[in-house]
Amino acid sequence: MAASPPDFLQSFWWTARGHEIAAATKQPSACLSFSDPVAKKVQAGQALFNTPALLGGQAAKANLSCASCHVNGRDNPHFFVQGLSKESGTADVTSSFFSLVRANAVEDAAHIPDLAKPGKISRADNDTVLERFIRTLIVEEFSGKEPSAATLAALASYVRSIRSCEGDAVQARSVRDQIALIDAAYEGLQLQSDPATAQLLIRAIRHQLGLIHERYAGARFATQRQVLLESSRNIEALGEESDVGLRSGELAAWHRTFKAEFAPELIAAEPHSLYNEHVVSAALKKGR
Amino acid sequence: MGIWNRKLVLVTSSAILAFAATPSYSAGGGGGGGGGVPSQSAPEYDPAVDYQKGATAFRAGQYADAAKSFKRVVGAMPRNAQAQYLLGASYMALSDFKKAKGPLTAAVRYDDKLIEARRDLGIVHAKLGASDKAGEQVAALKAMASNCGTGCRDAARLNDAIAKVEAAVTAGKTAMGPVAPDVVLAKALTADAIYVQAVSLINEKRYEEAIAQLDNALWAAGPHPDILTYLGFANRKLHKYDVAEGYYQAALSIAPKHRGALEYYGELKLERGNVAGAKAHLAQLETICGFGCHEADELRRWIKEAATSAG
Repeated sequence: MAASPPDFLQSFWWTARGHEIAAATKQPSACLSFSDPVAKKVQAGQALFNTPALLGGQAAKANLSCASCHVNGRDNPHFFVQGLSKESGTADVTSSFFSLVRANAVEDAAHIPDLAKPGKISRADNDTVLERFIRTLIVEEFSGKEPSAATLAALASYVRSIRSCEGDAVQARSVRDQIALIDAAYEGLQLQSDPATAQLLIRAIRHQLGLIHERYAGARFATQRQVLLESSRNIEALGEESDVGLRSGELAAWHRTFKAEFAPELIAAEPHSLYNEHVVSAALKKGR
Repeated sequence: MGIWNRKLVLVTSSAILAFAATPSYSAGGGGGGGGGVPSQSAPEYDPAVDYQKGATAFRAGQYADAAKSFKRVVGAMPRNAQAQYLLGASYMALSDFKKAKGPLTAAVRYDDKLIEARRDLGIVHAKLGASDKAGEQVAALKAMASNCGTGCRDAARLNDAIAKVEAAVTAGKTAMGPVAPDVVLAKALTADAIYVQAVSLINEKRYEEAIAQLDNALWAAGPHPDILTYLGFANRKLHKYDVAEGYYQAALSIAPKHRGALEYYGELKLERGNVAGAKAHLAQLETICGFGCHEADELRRWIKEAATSAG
């Protein structure tokens, strides 16, 4: 149920029964296409896209982010919430469960669109209709706070960059995904945009640390989980630092240490974590 | 380098040493759900699991098994009127009216509007020869029918209940055969959908309807902390603060780290002027939500707004 995800992976709350292993270990492939000048903006957008704090109400309580439905910016064939989906891969985003503003009192779950495909909304660089559309989704459909112009610009840049890849349509999930999203949020912070966007990017880093934390379960990873938790708490404290220069320096030092020393160890241990299909399968058998 | 960062580097280094000291990893060792989700820990005893076992046995007519499961639920959650009622109903189906009396009395005590509980308690009293006590239940049911009126949703159920208790009084102690339950329990599978509907109704400020839906979910899923929390929330919005507090406390007795219950109970304390109590809830949430959570954000905002308006 929404307010308290009961499983060992929080995403199971919005995953169809029987789809857990596939959803936990596989994802649609995505390739990003953008020009160098907007690279940091795209990275900031990608980090925000994966952050529940961008949304509000029940979505945020359930730890849903844009990426819960649009995994890797694509779709999610495994998405299912009883009462909000008619079949896996569908969602009723005009349910008053999420927000009263766009609620239409009709059970009209629709297929989650693949953002790599052209949609009804123009993605043209010289048209801000996409920014306005994203703002509507955040505020009116998912009860989020009013996003800043910088937040919207970053999200729109990311969405504009999403492409399908040549080759495999599906790729394995990995701790590298979370590390890349931490990098993306960190790079996005270098833009030094408004305080609200910076706060969301700090939350984005903490959220990704949490996602790693839940994947490294069991007694053998107790120390690693402690490091992740300490990191998150320290970054939270950093978020409250009013001296932007001090904050940047401290965050840079943390990021260097994380990348050089801790991330490689997480990657090395990944086969024994809940990123591994066999480990997820065993945990499901034990837990259900 | 600031203080926090020096500390971080130290922790990181020790972690890496711990990694290096571990010679090998056995397959599957990281699983098992030992870590849990970042900001939520599972309850040590989950009465909803036993409730489900009891409900499954009850549906299958295996009343002895049902009674065993419901007995464990009421042992942990004595104020759960649904489990008390179903325990009593299971005993009635086993013709054990003496054992049925206690849980049915408890069910009526904790939910005096539970028509079936009053009906069955009346029947049990009649079968045990206490026609005066059966009469008390008839009187209570008649009062409910009178308040309800002829066109109300429960009118037929109330009249049926009154007729059944009166018939049991007439039959007296001679009719000691088993009483087949007529309660139909929805499957737990529907509880999530009921919950989503109820939260939607709360968002639409239709609190009475939400409470009715959540009661249905409580029957289907048992004492689940999410359901109890939103029963608390809906009652709070109707200014039934004592009732709301009871539900929040029930949720936290099952899951002491339940984020939603901690947030909403903190908001209730704030509404009652208990700022220190609300801050204590926020401190708990901040401890639980190591990676950030919406519930802590919301309660923090409430406390800040309360301080602003008080100042």
